[in-house]
Amino acid sequence: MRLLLVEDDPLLGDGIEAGLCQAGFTVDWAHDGRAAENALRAEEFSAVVLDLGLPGELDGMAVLSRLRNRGQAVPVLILTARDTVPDKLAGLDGGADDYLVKPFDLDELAARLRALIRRSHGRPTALLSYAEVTLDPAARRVTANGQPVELSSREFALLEALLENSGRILARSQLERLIYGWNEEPESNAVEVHVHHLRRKLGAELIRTVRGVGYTIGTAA
Amino acid sequence: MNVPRPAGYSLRRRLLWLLLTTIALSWLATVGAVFLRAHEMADELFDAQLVQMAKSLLATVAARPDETPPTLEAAAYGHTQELVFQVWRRHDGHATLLMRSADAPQAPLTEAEGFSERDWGQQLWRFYSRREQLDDGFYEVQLGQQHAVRYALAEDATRHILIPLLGGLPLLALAIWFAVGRALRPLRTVTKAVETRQPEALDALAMPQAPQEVQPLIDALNELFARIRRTLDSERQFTANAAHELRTPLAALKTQAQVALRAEAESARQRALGHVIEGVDRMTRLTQQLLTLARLDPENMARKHRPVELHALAMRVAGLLTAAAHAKNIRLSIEGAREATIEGNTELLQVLLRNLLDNAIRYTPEGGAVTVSIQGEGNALALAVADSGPGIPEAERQRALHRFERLGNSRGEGSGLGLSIVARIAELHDAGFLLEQSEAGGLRASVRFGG
Repeated sequence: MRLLLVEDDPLLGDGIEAGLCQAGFTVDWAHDGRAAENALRAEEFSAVVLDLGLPGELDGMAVLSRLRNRGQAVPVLILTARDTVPDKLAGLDGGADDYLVKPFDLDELAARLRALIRRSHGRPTALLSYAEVTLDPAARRVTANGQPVELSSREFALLEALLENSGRILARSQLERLIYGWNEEPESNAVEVHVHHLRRKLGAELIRTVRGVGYTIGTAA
Repeated sequence: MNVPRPAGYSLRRRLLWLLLTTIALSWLATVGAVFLRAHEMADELFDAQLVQMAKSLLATVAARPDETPPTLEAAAYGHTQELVFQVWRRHDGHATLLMRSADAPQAPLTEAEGFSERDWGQQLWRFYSRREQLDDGFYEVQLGQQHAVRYALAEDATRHILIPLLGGLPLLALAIWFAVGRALRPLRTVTKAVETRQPEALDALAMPQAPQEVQPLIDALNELFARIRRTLDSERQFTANAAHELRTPLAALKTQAQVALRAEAESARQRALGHVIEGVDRMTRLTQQLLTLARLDPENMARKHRPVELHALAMRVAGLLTAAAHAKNIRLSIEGAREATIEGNTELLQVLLRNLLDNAIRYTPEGGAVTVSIQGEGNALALAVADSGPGIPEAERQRALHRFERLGNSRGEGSGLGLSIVARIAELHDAGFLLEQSEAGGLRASVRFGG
């Protein structure tokens, strides 16, 4: 689950990045509005954590309104020190999906992000499942036939992405972007390796290879 | 508006009474004048009538003195008791009553010649006596008329004017009541507009149709609204900035602490805990700055001004910051007058210079230069700190002095309080504080004492 974090404060940004990584997200961190704008134009994210008070000519609200004007529906959670009702109204009516006031709790932030992502996929329950495999994003637990399965964080992220998009074929490059952040340089066959491990742990039939295109779980249209 | 308050007078009621009294008084004067004039005219009219009648009677008697009957019934001359007359003949020293009206007495009506007035039978009468010398002696006609007749005429005329006026007075009062009420309606409209406002609505009242007399009130109200709005805006801006500056480091602290709690790798925990300490340091600095700013409020500051030698002060403060400058390989130098003494508060001036130098070192890139200069200009002394950093665009320099205001190019560092502290200390020393571009293209902050 790849997130864009937009935060100008180095200490806070660092903390959120580390905390969300611990919670299983892949996090890219933009330090100002301009960088956020560029990232949002170029890449796809599962959700955006947006600070409002940003230095430079583009503040958080400007980034948000530009994003929505481009028709991008990615869930946005505003994370700000501005706690007045008019500020919240402006944020939510300006296109944000959620609003969290600093200081906040990391667990709450992660849970809200999971909920936002779940809703953006039109999924009513917190659990992701297909056939006998069930993935709990909050508890970071996977079971197959009711038995817990140990996965590495990359394997978990890969499985989560495939389950989240079950029925769709995801290209290898797409999967790579979803599970690796800007600062990480994956091995060229990293995705194949993770898929191989997943098949070994969960059974060969779960993840199908669509030759020349990518991977899918479920019946691809 | 439920607060009890001393009752002011009602403009409407006051105007009503004022107008009604004035009008009623002027009407009374008019009616009085009409009455007097009518009375005067009645006098003239009836007097002329009396004279005319006297002449006719004399003529009648003179023509046929023996044929006239001694008394005439009222019917004969068409008048009631209000008019009486006698015709006398004076001959050889005694008078003979030749003729009289039925209700006239046997005795002469009056002794005076011409017009006279006296009470007769409980009434005031007006008499006229006329004598004429005819062939066979003196004839005298005496006529009497009740004065009341004349009053009656004047009264009648007056009454005819007075009744419609009195009847009109209540109507007039009603008309005034409504007219004044109508004229005061714009005031009620303004009141209602202000009363029904939401407390946060501070935009101008728009009343294009307001009369000239009410417009100044609306203008004054709008001016007030604008002033309150400006004050509130700056308060709100300050609160928002303060919230950001206080909450962000707290959020960072909490987040880093949670990361440390959850970290599985020891290195990650160490790193997060290091950040926690960094965050606490930042909060400490911020708290210190806030406390400094709070102490700078005039009530809290006893003005203990003593001679302060600026060069020594600069040496002392620069000494405290050498390590920081050294870490970034920044050349820190002091130039200018050796002897420059001003009256001031040593501790505060130390805080001032420290803030300026702190800023300069923070924003100057590695290998740059920061210069403290002390210059005498006539009676004035200028203490300036120039750096080779990015500077502040001219348009943003004023904003840089506001509390908690951070500018576009500052990233994360600093609280936005430093320059407002400097500005405040300068103000307490009656010194001018100026931000301009330094020779190296960075910022030059100068404080001018005296002169």
